[in-house]
Formats: sequence, C-alpha cells, structure tokens
Amino acid sequence: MKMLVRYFFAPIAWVRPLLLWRGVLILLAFDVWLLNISHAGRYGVAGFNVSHFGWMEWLPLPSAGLYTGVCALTGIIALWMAFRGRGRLGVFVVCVLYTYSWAMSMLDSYQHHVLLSWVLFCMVFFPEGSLKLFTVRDQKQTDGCVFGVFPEDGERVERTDGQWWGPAWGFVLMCLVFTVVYGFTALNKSEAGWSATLRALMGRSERVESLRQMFFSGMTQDAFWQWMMLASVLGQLLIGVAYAWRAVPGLLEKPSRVWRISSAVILSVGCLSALGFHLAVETEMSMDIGWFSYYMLWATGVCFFPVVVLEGLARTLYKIRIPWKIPAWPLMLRLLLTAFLAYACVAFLDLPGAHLLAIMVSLSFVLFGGVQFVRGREVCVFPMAASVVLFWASITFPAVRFDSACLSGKSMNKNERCLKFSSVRYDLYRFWGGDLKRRGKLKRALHMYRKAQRYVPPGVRGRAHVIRRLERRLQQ
Amino acid sequence: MEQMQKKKRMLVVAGCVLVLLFHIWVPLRYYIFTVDRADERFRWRMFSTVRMQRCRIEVTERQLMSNGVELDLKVDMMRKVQMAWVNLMKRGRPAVIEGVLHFRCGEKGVKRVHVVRRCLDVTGKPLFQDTFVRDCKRETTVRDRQMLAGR
Repeated sequence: MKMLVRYFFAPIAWVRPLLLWRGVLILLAFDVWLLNISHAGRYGVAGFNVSHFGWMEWLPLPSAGLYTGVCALTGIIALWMAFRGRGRLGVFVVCVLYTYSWAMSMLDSYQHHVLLSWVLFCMVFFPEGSLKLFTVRDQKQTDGCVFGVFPEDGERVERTDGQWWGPAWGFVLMCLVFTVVYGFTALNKSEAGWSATLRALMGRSERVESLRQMFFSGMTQDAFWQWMMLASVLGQLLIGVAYAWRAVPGLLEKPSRVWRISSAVILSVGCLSALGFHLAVETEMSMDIGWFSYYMLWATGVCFFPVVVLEGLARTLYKIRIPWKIPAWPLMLRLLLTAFLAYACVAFLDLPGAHLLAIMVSLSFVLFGGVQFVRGREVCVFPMAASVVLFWASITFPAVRFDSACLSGKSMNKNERCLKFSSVRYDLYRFWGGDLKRRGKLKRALHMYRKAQRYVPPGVRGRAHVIRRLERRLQQ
Repeated sequence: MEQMQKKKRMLVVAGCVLVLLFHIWVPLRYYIFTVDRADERFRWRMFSTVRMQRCRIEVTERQLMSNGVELDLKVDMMRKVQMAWVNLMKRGRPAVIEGVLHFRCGEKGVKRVHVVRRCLDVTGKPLFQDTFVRDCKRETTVRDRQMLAGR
C-alpha cells in the first residue's frame, strides 16, 4: 500500500496536467460543435431509441433539440473552463454532459467517446492552477481576472531548475486508464484474423504499399500483414507501459544513471510508438474516427515530451494578449451584459432548441457569477463571453477541414481537394432531409433541404438538384 | 496533521484502485463470459475483426390485413427507422435488434417479426446466419445461429 501511495503521489511536472486540461477542453468544445451537432437529426426519429444503459429509458426520449443543446452546452462550458484556467465543478459538469451526449443513445457508439469521458473524469481531480492561455491587457483589476503563471493551490515542490512539480494523482490515474486501454487494444489486435482486418483498413494506402515494396519485397502479402499485426500489438504494449511508467521517474529523489537512462528509453519508445500509431491511424486507415487521433497526439505530447519544451509552449501561449480594455462596471451589470450577449449569440442560430439553449446558457452565467459574488470571489466575464462568441462563430461560419487522405497518398478522385469547407447547419439539415426522404416524408424533407441550402459552404455543390426533384415529386 | 494527510492519501489511492479495477473488469468480462461477441461496447475493441464483418439483414413481418388474412411481408427498415439503427442491426447489436423487434410489434396489425442477419468475414468468407423471431402476442424472442463455414 505504501508503494501505491508513493506512486500515485509521486511528483509530476505540473505543466503536464495543466496543458492537457486546457488542450482537451478546447479540442472537446470544437469537436462537439463541429462534428456532433450535425448528427442531431438522427435522434428520436419515429419515436425510437435505445440508450446505452437500461435505466436511461426512464429519461425523456432524445430529440434533435435535446442532443444539440447538450452538445452546445458541453462545448461552451468546456471552453469557458479552458479560458478561465480553473474549475473542478465546471469540468465535472462537462464530464456529465458529455457522457450523457453519447449515453443517451446507441446512435453514438464510438468507443473513443467513452475514453474521453474517462479522461474528463480524471481531469476533475487534476491540480488546479492559474496558468492562463489568454490575458486581457488592463492595468486595473477591473474584471476580476487574476493572472499568473504558476499553480496557486495544492501541494507543490519547486525544483531547483525553476519548474513546478507536485503530486497530481488525477493525472497518474488518467495515465493508468490509458495503460489499461492500450492493454486491451493489444489483446484485441492479437486475435486470429486481425492481420486480415489490418489489411482491409490500410491495404489501400499507397504509402504503405510503397513501404512494403521498398523494405519487404521478399515477403508475401500474408506474411507482411502478419508482421504488421505483431508490430501493432507490440506498439500498443509499449505505449501502455510508457503511460504506466510516467509517474515512476518522480519516485526517486536521486536516481542512478542506469535508472535515468532506462526511464528515458521506456518513455521515449512509448512516445514514438504512440506518435507513429496515431499518425498512421489518422492518415492511413480508412475508418472515420473524428478527432480521436488529435486528442491522443496531444496526450502523447503532453505526457512524454520534455518538461522544458512544454513549459516553453505554456509560456508562449501565456504571451497571447487580447488588446481591449474592460470598463470598471459593477459585477452584476457585467454579468447581465454577458448573459444578454450569450442569448443574442445562441437564440437566433437556427438550430433545434436554440432559444431554450440560449436561456440556459444565460442563466448559468448569471447563476455562476451570482454565487461567486455572494462568496466574495472575483469573476472574470471574458471567458464566458469568449466561449459563447466562439460557439456562435463555429456554427455561423464555414469551417475548414483538412482531408487526411492527402497525407497518405490514399487514392483520391483527382477533383478532390485537401482543404474542404464544411458547415454545421448545412450538414445537419441535409442529413436530416436525407433521412426524411428515405422514410417517405417528402414535405418535411423538402423543408430541411431548403434550410440546408441556405448554409452551403464555399466549394460545395449544395442540394438544389435534390430540392428540384422533390418539388417535382410533390407536384405529381 | 501528518496522520490526516496520510489517511487522506490512502483513501485517495483506495478510490483510484477501485476505479481501475472497474475499468479493467468491464472489458475483461467480454473475454471471460460473453457468448454474443457482437456487443463490443466498453471493451476497447476499436478496429476489431467483429467490427469488420460485413452483414446484411432481412426483415419480414406477419401482418394482419384488413380482410382478416395474415401475410408475411418484407419490410424495408430504412423506411421505418433512422438509417443508423439499421446499420447497428447489421452489426448485430443485441439491444438494438431487441428494441426494433419490440418497436415493430407495437405497430398495428403486426403479429410476428422475423429478422435474418447473414455475415461474411473481412475476406468475404461466409461466417454465420442469425435468425430472430419475435412473437408479438407472447412478447418472446427466439434466436438461432447457423454457422456457414465452407458454404
């Protein structure tokens, strides 16, 4: 038991959990807004749903409005916390909302969404600190924003090289969660027939084929994919071991040279395996897994890159300044203005349930600010305002998407481009229209396609031809 | 103070160990106990051999027509539920198949629902055929699996 206590409370460079916290929350916000909301039209169709957990059948049937609201709120609170730089309760709320967003229906069965819930759960127990990403250039403390570089609370041990280290058992728990996940993925990949699965997933990649011809030309296809399978199993195990080893270097105050070299080798090999694996998954595999690779690449960098690199990154991000002054108005006035801004940004977005969502966001800002005011704490409204404005911008403006097929050399249609525009509302309403058309609800399908047509992003054909066909069918 | 901190740390570690044991137990059950391999949720089986199986489904319903005759009619499930549910049925998700059977039994005139799911492995070799028959009156489902290896 003593060893376990030492392991979980071994000093960790605090820049690791703090950067991971922010990176995951920022990625999550844009992930749920840009990728999830567009599938809201699937929920509650024909009054049919199956939740992940039996007891959830007692909850209201998911609908497009409910799903949109949960995803939007998850992202707004996540980004708010990321800008704020602290907020265990906020991260807990994000964890609950995000978990509900996939648990409410088996329509979302992506296993990496479950892993993200685990990560958010662990993040609730990360050490809090005031390592902020953004500051407002204002000499007077008019908006209650407290700025600082170093962690404020929790135990800390400052090392002689000026880096902040301390116990971060939530971070260690998260590393062990990853170890378990990689262990089971290795077990999955060691099943008979997985080499054929790997070939199906990666076989069309021109880069992989070039590598095979260059280095393994003497091998048959079957033997090559068997070796690839073994390599992937070994890679997963090395990554799992590295995550479990993450807390070990902090256990010894004066480690021997052999110990330091061994640790460095284990962590470096794990880091390289993780980078290689997730980059390969993103660029070479033919399965759509959203932004999962980006989360894991961020986790890999934050967990394994040298502290000096991470601190350099953190200090660079800290230098970002927003060039405006916030007037010294009373707190309640600032809160009400922010709540009004939130309502204005959200209510008119032409999303299902937008008005109710706008009210909930505004109320949560006012409630939070009010509670902090009663407790005599300062409130910085900038993070709230920024999160809601960025939500508005994500929905209103087309997003640029990079097609990872460009990196791999996977065969692409010569007319395909690497950079594509997408629009949340265009995707939402055209998917919705497509489902309605398939089920014979042509009038509603036409309504949805017309809505989609208002939000066609640049370079995209749109649905004008589908609208014309539907209009002709309805006239008959 | 030091005693309290020691006690607090031990409680934290005990909590972490329990969380990790739960985190290990849930996917481990799939390998120790599960007979139906189709439900891979919470098992960390991304890109699995099961996921890459290619399956088709056929749904037939015994319906009571207005003239009192019962007929077996093929049903296009894509016109009845959202397409994603049909894909989950193809993947053999037991709760979804059961849910759809129950849902279709709720339709007026439906007496019996019959689902056939036929799967090939990633190389295209036939694997098995699952049959689900739900009696709407008795609210029971009978399931059968027939291996197709070599066919």
